[in-house]
Amino acid sequence: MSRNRIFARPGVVIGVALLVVFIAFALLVPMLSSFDPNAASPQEQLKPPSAEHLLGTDEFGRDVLTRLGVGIGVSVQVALATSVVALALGVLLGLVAVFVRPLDQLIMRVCDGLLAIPGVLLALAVVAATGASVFSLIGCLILVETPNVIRLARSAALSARERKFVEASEASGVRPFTVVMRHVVPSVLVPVAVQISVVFGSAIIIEAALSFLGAGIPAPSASLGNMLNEAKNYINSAWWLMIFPGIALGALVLGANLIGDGIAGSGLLRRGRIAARGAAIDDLDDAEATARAIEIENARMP
Amino acid sequence: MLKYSLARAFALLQVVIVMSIVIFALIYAMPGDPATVILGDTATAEQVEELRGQLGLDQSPVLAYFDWVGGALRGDLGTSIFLHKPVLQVVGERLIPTASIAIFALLISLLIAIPLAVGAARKRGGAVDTTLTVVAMLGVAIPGFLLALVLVRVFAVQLGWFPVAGYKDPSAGLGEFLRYLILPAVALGVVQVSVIGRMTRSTMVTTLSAAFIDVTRAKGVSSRRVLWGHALRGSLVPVITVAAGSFGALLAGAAVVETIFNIPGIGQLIVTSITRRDYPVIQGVVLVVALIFVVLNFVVDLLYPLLDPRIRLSTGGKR
Repeated sequence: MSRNRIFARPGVVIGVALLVVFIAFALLVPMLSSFDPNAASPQEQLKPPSAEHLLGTDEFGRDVLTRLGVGIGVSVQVALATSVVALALGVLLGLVAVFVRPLDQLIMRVCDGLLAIPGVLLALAVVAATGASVFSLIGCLILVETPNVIRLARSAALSARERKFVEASEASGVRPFTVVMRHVVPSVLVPVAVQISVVFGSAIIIEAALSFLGAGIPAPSASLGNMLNEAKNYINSAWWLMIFPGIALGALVLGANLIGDGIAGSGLLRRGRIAARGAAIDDLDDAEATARAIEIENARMP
Repeated sequence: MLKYSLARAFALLQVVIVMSIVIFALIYAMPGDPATVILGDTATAEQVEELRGQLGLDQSPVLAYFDWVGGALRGDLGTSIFLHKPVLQVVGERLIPTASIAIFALLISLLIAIPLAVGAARKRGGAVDTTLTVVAMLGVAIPGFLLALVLVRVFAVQLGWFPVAGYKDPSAGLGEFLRYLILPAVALGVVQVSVIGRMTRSTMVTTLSAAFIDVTRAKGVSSRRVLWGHALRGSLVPVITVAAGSFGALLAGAAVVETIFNIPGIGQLIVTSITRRDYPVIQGVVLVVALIFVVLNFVVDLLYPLLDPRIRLSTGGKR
């Protein structure tokens, strides 16, 4: 039922459609294309879109369509890996902060300290130390994104724990682990899911920004940021180098955010409907506060 | 007020300590011996040993941290390996262009976001509200550096209204200074409109339904004054909080956009320092920007009671 309500919102449908189209593009194009995404062919340099090269060629004569497919794939993989790890780590540490009192202060102060450093700069500093590679890029994105998830998971878990049915099940002798898994985790997951859509978009943007600065995915492999970086030098002459990766980048981030907005606006946050399977539910008092918290976290996006 | 300020100052201190540990500890994330990595294969053993001493790698990490913090408190952030100048001086020289872009961008985003948001809250679902929604979505989806590329293409290359790249010192005259900054500032500012606009709109909607607004209306105050005077004033605290939060993103964003416009700011500095492996400079830039950001947020915290008399301070920093 709750699923129907989420998909009843046009924003979510558009968001899912955008992601599906571009991910399908990233899966199919490299398979179907007859061009090598990284092989230079000097005779084909900077050719505008044509029947042979549908999206034109770049400064090394590489096919932009093929590179765009590979580039979207790389960006999406990096963002997905970041989102999954940030989700797992964020929820885990958020719950630990709530249920293991001595660690609460420590975890939250470390989060505050990390959040005090603007994301792109922290990521640049990490890459400067570890060297640019896909692996270190994902690592620094996780470092940048997880603190927000921890904060949100913690505040959602705190308010969940104070609700009547959680207190009741604790009082009736249910094992603490069972209480957490059955009652607290479900009500943490909805606000965190909204945040994860933001993390996904933010990871795509930071990856693009770092690669754009030459500190992300190492050349010659394609990524949206690398392609935009190369486009920068031909801004007067070769518009097709900039426009297609630009559209892909915007569409992926927009898609993720539309899905997140849809979940946030669907009433799931407000009513905490999947908060406790079948249990009588009091209204999630701080649904407003959670929504607001998410908006404030969004302010940190680069 | 004193108790509240002290509580905020204590929180600030905690944040600064953790932040400085993170920034300091990053050098230990280098694979292998940092001094060897920084100097490359051609360095002699003496050079490596000297740099190890300079970076504090010849002592325990804890001692090295306290050395570094002690230096930082005296204004000594070490020496640039490549430029052979004090890091603080190098960062200081590059900070003005970056900060100018960030401040200019913040002003632009406030000037666009607040009128749009007030209009949107006045008539929900109206034309202004739709405009705000569209601008906000674009702002979320298009990063500043991408918008900057588009703006350069249209307004500098095609129309020739603004310079394609470059930077003029404020001493060259305010007009010239702003003419060079306008494209980077607009590129960054539009992105922040989404964040500030959405927050202002949702707070205004809540404030407009408050009882004191009805009372003001009943007293016969004009609806324009209710909207721009009373309701906006009552909505300022979250708006300013978000604006201060945006400033960190703007500084970092300015760093990225600088490379497009070839502006000699800290962004260019950090990017060239990465290729030069000039680690003390990277550390210094990140530390200085993070400090500006946390101190700004601290000042905003202290401003709350002045902005909104409803905030009581007696509960030790709790609102």
